[in-house]
Amino acid sequence: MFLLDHPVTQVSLAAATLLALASPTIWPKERDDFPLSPYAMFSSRQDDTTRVTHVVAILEDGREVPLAPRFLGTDEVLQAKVTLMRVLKRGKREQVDLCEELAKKVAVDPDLGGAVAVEMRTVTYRTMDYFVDPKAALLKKNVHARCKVER
Amino acid sequence: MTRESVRQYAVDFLRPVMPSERLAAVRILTALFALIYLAVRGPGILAAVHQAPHLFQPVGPVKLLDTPAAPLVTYLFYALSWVFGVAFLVGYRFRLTAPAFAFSLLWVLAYRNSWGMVFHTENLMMLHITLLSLSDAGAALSLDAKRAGGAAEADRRFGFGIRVLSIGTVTAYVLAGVAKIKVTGLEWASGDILRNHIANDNLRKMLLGDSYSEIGMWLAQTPQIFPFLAMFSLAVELGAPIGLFSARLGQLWCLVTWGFHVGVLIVMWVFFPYNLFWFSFASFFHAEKLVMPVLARLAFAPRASSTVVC
Repeated sequence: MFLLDHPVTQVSLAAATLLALASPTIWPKERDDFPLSPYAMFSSRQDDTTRVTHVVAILEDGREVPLAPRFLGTDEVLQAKVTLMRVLKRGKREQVDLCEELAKKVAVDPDLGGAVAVEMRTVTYRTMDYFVDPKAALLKKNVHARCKVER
Repeated sequence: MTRESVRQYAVDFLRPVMPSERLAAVRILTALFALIYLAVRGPGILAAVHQAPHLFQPVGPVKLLDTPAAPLVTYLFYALSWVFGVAFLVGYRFRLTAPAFAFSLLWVLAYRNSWGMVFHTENLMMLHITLLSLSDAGAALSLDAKRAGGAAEADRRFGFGIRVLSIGTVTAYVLAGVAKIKVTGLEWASGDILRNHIANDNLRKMLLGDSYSEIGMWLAQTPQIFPFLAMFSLAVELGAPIGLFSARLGQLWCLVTWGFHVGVLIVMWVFFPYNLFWFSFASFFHAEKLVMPVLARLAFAPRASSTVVC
């Protein structure tokens, strides 16, 4: 009989795996992990505002189009968010560098032909009010960098 | 109730006699999903090599590294996960290739998750691959079984493998429910926290130029519905163990949980493919009844099962 087929080995390994699975809940860590997670997503209290650092392309007529995660080299919105937060923390120079890099990408993007500028900023909205009137819901806007789109 | 009857109940609960084909069928389905996932997510997984080093925040086994690995290492592990994954799928030298697949897949996914954000949609698949790699899931419907002259007879070890997969699934949901109660207490059931999460998540996605749920945004303006949605979520998660007590209850819980994931997709635009395509629930069903006819059609397995014990 192979060692793994022995009932005691099977039960022990399975118990160890399940205990490991529950371990982040029993002994919480500072940050999330993989594959062992406390599964704490959507469990925390949220206030009634939404604060986001994002990058928008500003069109000739003043309309603003948020840049999709693909502009930041990822197809995942959460990864894009983390990238922006890191750049924000690293200061003005990196913010301007990113802005200029994105302006170059916007300049050759066929969907953003009318874009004249790119802006990296942090905005705070009253979340529920946004769905009624986005402009009135804006509480705060802090522009970190603004660059021209040159073609 | 005598001590002996309690012991027998525990044995029958944890290690019921099941056909080797059932565990093997779950192996095939799980491996199939993992390989499709590796193919579809391949560009995203390999894109990790282009991330800026200062974004590196290792998780899981990748914590062994202080700095990002050379791109070649990522390419190598991705290739290995394919090689061992195919071996896992067809059951070739399963005792060796299954743990190798589990580890290479764990490394590949953990490395991709080491850039600031963890993708929880992969946890359950990784758990199932790990548990399958420790079981005897290669004893039927495999090249190993063909070499050994046929599938193994029905046995308690196959039932245990199936049982542990189901316990693992249920545990993951219970932990998600416990986390909610642990952080916010019973307030979570009032629905306000869920409503704020749905509104916030959709607005954040919209502002970050990603796809979002218009239904979720519309629904967020109807606070009356959220106590019901919150209580339903908690019932699905904390009530998950009920699915272990009979086959019918298990299948009913899977159906309700699938509905929960459909709801999550509709109102939050969060896609859990492993659960939405039913792969995560395979251990609650007679998976061999789905897999064996397909394999027979492909001429990889006999048309009739040997002994199928339910």
